[in-house]
Amino acid sequence: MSRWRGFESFLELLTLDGPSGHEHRTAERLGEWFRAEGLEVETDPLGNVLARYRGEGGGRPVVLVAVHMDEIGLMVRDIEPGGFLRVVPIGGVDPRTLVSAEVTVHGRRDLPGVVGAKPPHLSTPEERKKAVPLDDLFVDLGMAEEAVRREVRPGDAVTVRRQPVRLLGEVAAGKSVDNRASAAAVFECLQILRTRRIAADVVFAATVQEEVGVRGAAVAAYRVRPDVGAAVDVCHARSPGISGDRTVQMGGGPAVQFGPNIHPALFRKLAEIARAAGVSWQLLVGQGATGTDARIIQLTREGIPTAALGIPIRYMHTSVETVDYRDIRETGRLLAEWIAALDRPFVEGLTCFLND
Amino acid sequence: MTDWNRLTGGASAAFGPAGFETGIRRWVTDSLASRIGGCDVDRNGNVIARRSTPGAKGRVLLVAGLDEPGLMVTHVEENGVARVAPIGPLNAKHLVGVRVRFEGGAIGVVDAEHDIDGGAVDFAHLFVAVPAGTVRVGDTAVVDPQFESAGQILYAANLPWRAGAAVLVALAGELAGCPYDVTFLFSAQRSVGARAGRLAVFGETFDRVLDIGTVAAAPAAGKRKGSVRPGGGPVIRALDHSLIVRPEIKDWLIGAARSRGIPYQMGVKPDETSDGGILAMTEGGLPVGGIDIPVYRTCGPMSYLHTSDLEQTLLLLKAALEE
Amino acid sequence: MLLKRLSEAAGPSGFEDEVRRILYEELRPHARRVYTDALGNLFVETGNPGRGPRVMLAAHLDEVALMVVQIDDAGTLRFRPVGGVDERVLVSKAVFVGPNRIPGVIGSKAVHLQKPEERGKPFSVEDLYIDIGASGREQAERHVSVGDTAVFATAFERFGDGKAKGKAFDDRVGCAALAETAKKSFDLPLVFAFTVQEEIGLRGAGPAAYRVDPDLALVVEGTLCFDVAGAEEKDAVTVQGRGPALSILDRMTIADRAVLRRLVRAAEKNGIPYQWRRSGAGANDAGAIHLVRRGIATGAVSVPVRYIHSPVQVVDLADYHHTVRLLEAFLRDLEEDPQLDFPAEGEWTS
Repeated sequence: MSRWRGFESFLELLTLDGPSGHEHRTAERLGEWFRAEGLEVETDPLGNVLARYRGEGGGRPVVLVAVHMDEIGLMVRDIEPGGFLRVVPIGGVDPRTLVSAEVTVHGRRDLPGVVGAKPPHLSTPEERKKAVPLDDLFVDLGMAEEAVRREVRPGDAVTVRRQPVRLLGEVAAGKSVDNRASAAAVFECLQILRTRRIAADVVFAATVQEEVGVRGAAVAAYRVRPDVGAAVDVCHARSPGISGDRTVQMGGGPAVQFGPNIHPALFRKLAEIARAAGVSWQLLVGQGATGTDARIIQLTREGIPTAALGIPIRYMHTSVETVDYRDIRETGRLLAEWIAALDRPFVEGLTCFLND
Repeated sequence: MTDWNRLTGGASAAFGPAGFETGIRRWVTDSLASRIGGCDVDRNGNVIARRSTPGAKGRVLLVAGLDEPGLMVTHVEENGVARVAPIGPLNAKHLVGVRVRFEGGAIGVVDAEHDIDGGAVDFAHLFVAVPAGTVRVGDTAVVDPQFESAGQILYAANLPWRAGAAVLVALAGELAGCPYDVTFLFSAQRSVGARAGRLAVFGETFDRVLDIGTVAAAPAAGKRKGSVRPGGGPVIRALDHSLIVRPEIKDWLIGAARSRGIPYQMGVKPDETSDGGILAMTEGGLPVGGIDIPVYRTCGPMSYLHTSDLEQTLLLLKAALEE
Repeated sequence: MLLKRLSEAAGPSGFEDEVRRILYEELRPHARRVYTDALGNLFVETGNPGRGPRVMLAAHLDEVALMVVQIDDAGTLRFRPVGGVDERVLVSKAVFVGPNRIPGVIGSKAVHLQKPEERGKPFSVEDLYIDIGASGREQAERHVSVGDTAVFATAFERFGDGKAKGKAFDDRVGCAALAETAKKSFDLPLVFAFTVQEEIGLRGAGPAAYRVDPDLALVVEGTLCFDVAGAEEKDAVTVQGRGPALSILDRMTIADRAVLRRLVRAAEKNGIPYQWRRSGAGANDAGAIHLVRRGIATGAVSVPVRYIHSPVQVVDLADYHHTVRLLEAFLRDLEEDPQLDFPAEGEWTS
């Protein structure tokens, strides 16, 4: 049975293919690692992996930590004459990033393919000025139509092929850093939790189908019925031409989210804990629901006090999403210290907005 | 073999825009009475019928929609001009010149305020011309279904919304030997985003859920290419706007089709929200699959389908329920 | 006047504290029980818990507003909207920023300094900033933090022929109408739910309804009203002076016939004017509430509000008054005839 081994394991996670609704490979690996850490693991009907870490003492509140394990991808819509595949997006795919991409078609077996489009020589000047829409792209498997029809059916998933790339220092790039980075942060968190006395039970939920509308988290939060919820997801890091209030600094530590989607006392607690533990952190403010599992966790059943952490990455929703592993480690540390600070009296105060 | 002409014709002729599923609800409850005994109507307008088997292997939920998109009168002017708002996915540009039918039986013709050639038309420009004094604010209408059959081809405006219910009604009479407890849910307000269906089974769990609908089939040319054909057999759904079907559920249906030699197709329909999708993600989650009947033109004032697809969908459902 | 205090209080979505506080203090003496939930929804329970259907009356606390997202070196504040603010209305308005209500104005490049082609275009939030008079970032940061919200500094005022202007009538008219109703005595179990986060996607009402699990819910709102110069009757949605507007269809809800019938009956029995809300556009908390659990029978009654979502909204106080009367009439009718009959079909108009 394989175990979590830090950065190397994170890179391994980036090699697994798991678009929304097809997370079984990632689910299996994460389940294995959770069990190796001694957690109780179950899987629900949607495929969420729920791993329970038990604290000590009586009357322990339950904390849900959601990290989505799906990634964006494509699905085969049709097989055209000649064996070319037309696709539809799974989640927020930017078709411009797909032109000339290498892909894996998950048919009866995994097949390598390339994304083709009309070459520039044959395009009109007007066409060349515009981005190629997804409808004009196709996947070429280099196989005869008959063979394609044997191996592939409409409805099969397609993912972009990209081996993770190690950049300088502890920076890595690859596909599905959104949101495997947060899964890695959870395992970093677990290494620290074991050294603390925890007065809460924590359910780590590796959720499915976040990229198509936070579906897994809706089900996970309903089932777990936590006293406190948190989502860990990636957020935008600054890069040339991209700055301002919707971005944070890569290498600057976890982003702590603030806004209507976040319980104010949980935000304050995170900020306070970060200062006390010497975790460098960054403020990320939002004006509505966040683009994370937190958006639905907060609204589950009678409402759940919810927090959200962000790991800065560049080039979100491409196959070269780039992250600094130090941010992942610090996110895990902040998460662990925060969990260690949660207890029954604190949690009970979260429904009171009428302090005199 | 089922008389699909009669069954589908009955479903098609019944009135029922979302939230006002009066005629179709009566048709379903009447049709179920002779096939499965009683059924219930909940306060949201859903029809629920249950069939239990001693020592059942498990619980299965089958869902199809009751309603269709429609129009609601929001303002009545003199001289028989009614302004309308859409209920559900109706496209204004498809409606100009179309005949509509109000719940009370009044017939109207949709018109636009000005020449719309080359310009975008939306509901602000549309009105329904009706005999003065026949409609009031709050009245509802549908595109006149104009059901007709020609051999194995059935034509009507609302087949995309009624074919699933026709198949489920037929299935209700042919469950002898099915080892599962089966719940039939004919859902209200499906066409406005699958709002009401899930409310009917709140708090219940099922081992399997199958959502029965329709999918746009094999148009001919240009950008409207696609490989789903009318007459090619039921379409096992891989994805809709609200649902991604898990691989083991697709495999279950494919296995059922193969074992009985039922022709089938695979398909995706990214634009439609189904009750199945909503059921999959509410409360504790349910394992949901979908089967769609190919229909030529799923948006617009007329569509057609092939009766063999209705028959093969029925056979596939029976096969799946015996697996 | 309670409506004045509610209108002038700050309550951006997610930051409804001032409005919640006013209602809490106003209603505490009249309630059996007052509490909040994890989102900040405020619940006020009144009436007789042992008798009749459990009714939830809902109005939302929050309003569309602005949030400070960056402080410039010059001490000006960059902001983004909270909820659906029409960017075109923002320029040259006065605001209050943060919990200490720091006065500010929304500035832009003076028209003299704009190129001719710029002048025809509306300002976007990126072109605008809040100026609190700070000499630089350091001074600004002593008064304001990133994440602080700002609301329009509009004074409530009666004017014209029985009208009032102010900010946030959407939905402080509903809050005020509920508060007046909560002070009356009813022989029914009533839960007044003052909900959060309506303006950012009907977020507070669903969890509130899940908790209360009522037999029936009534949403009281401020709604679209375009009965002004240049508008045609067919586009008006509602008309001021015609009384409360009853919803029949909007973007999220097809109205419940049973509740509508009871509302119409109550209005007609008591000679209260009412009108239909005539548009499929817009949505309110009913959209979230009616789909909770097994489905909750829900109605929506609205006061017509001109210039909704803008810094100067206008209501007709007679419409407000008739809305309060209709709420009482509806509840008295329920007291007399508590049997809820919920057929899925049938006429909804009289």
